[in-house]
Amino acid sequence: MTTLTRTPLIILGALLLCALTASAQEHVIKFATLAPEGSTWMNVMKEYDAAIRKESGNRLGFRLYPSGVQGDERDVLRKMKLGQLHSAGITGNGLTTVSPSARILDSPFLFRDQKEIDFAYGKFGPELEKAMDEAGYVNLGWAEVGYVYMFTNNPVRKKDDLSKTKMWMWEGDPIAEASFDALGIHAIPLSITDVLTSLQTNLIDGVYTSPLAAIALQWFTRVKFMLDLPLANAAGAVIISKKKYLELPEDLRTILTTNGRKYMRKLTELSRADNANALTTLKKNGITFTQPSSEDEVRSYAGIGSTARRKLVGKLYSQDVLDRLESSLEEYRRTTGPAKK
Amino acid sequence: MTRPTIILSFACLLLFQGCFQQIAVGSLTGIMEDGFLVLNEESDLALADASIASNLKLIESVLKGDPGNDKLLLMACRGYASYAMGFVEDDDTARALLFYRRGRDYGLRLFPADGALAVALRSDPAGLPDALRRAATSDVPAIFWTAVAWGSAINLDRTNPDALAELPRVEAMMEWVREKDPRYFYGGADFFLGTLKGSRPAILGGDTAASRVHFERALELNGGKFLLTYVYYAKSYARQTLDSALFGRLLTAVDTASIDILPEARLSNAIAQKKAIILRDKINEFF
Repeated sequence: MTTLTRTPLIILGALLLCALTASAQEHVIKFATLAPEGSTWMNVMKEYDAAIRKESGNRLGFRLYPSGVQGDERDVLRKMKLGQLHSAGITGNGLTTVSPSARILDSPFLFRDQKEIDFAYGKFGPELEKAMDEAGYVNLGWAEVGYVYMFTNNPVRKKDDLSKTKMWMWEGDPIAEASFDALGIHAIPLSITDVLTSLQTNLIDGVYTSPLAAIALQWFTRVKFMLDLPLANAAGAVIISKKKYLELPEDLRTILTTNGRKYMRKLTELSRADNANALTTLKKNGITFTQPSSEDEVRSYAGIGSTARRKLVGKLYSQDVLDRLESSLEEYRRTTGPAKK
Repeated sequence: MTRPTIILSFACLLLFQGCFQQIAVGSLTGIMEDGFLVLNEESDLALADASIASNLKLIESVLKGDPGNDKLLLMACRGYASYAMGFVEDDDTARALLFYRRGRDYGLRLFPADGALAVALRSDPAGLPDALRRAATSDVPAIFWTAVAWGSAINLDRTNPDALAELPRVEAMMEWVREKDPRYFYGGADFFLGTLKGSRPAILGGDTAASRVHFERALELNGGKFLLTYVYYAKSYARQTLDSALFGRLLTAVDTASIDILPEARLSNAIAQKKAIILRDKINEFF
């Protein structure tokens, strides 16, 4: 081979290499979340990213935007519609927009323990994911936020104690509205950013959130009691726009979804541990946990949950899916016995 | 020698040893304070890295013999916090967390154990506003550096609810410093509060508008000469608001500044220039 013929071959080789390098950067999934850098959510997302990069030979990877830098969940979903972002970690608010029926798993006093939660996600997850798919999103994995409790400045032992509470309600949240309506609470709708100040000024004296969020948002510094009976279990998920998903070659889709299930399950387990630790922290910081005064009282909350869930039929989900979910849980309880917290 | 004489001599020896130790610790403390000033003026990062590490161990050794020495406790608190920020955090967060906690613990020892401030900081956060109201201006360095070490430890320990629950205490300490002596350490309280409020979305308690005000005030107070202010302005506020143009401008201000712009903080400014390079490399990841 002469030098003249060799040179173009070298150039061709270099061009091919450039093309390969360029293709390695083709499949970047822009992901946004409200979770801050260093949080369990972001730590697991980084592990997920590392796993898909490794398995795909660096052809697929996330670009992670933590800490709400891309805006709140509504902003992020809007940017996903415009193609500026492809993927997001979403919770209640975002789920209501993406696929309202998925919020059935957020409904009040539905689950008695975490095994029931896992059972319900296992049985109804695929159906709810199908609804997401029809709305243009692929669910890469459910990642729950965790049990939501009511925190108050007056002790709540009986349901009637709640009626005296000036309870905050996240404005525009249908689940909270139905729940507090059924509980006979006249809740005060406010933006989440106004909650701490409103607790300080006594505009409200009750809030609901997960134990970890109560600490991260510093709300725990302004309340004294927590009713030790979860109001609900808050759902979360990592989704990708179907458009972006379908642009990926099939082998990369498999890598993305297989790892999505794996790492979101890990995230759920870690979030449960975080929340369990957060409960201990709350106790250490002087929050008193109150219990429902009797078994009848516990049963009455279950009844309230049932009433609230019916108020959401037609708004978030169908009567059919609610009936099937409730009867599946009853069947599950008959076969597994008493709940374990 | 009679028995009483032996006892007397032994007592004198002990007394003398005690005095000698006090004199030695006193001299060492003075030398170390001077050393601290010299280190802050150092522009060679490798030399500073090696010197600070050995000086910190020396301070700890002397503290063994004089555990209540306020000057040494403050040096240990400030030294560990600064060393972790300048030389460890960018490469090894687990090790940095260890050093920040060590700095925090030395700092907490600066407050008398049975005093209102120590009790409030350790176990009664509800009493903190009152305790801070009673604190004096002379407490500013102790409160500032303890808050720096403590807040930085929490920042690296965000999955730990116990640590997160302590953040309101740190914020209250820094707000107090800002009111009492806003000029302390180049507008350090505003710098710290700007970082804290600019690193979280509003939904999680952040306040980017307030963050910007804090950073601008810090720059005003230090005349734009304490370059770490620009670095943390970029890292928190500019990143949080997705303002890549501001991010670039802030880092350029660091890159183009003379290392001698503030001779007594030459080391901090050299660290700022190193951090600006690391941060600029992440521009495609952030925006």
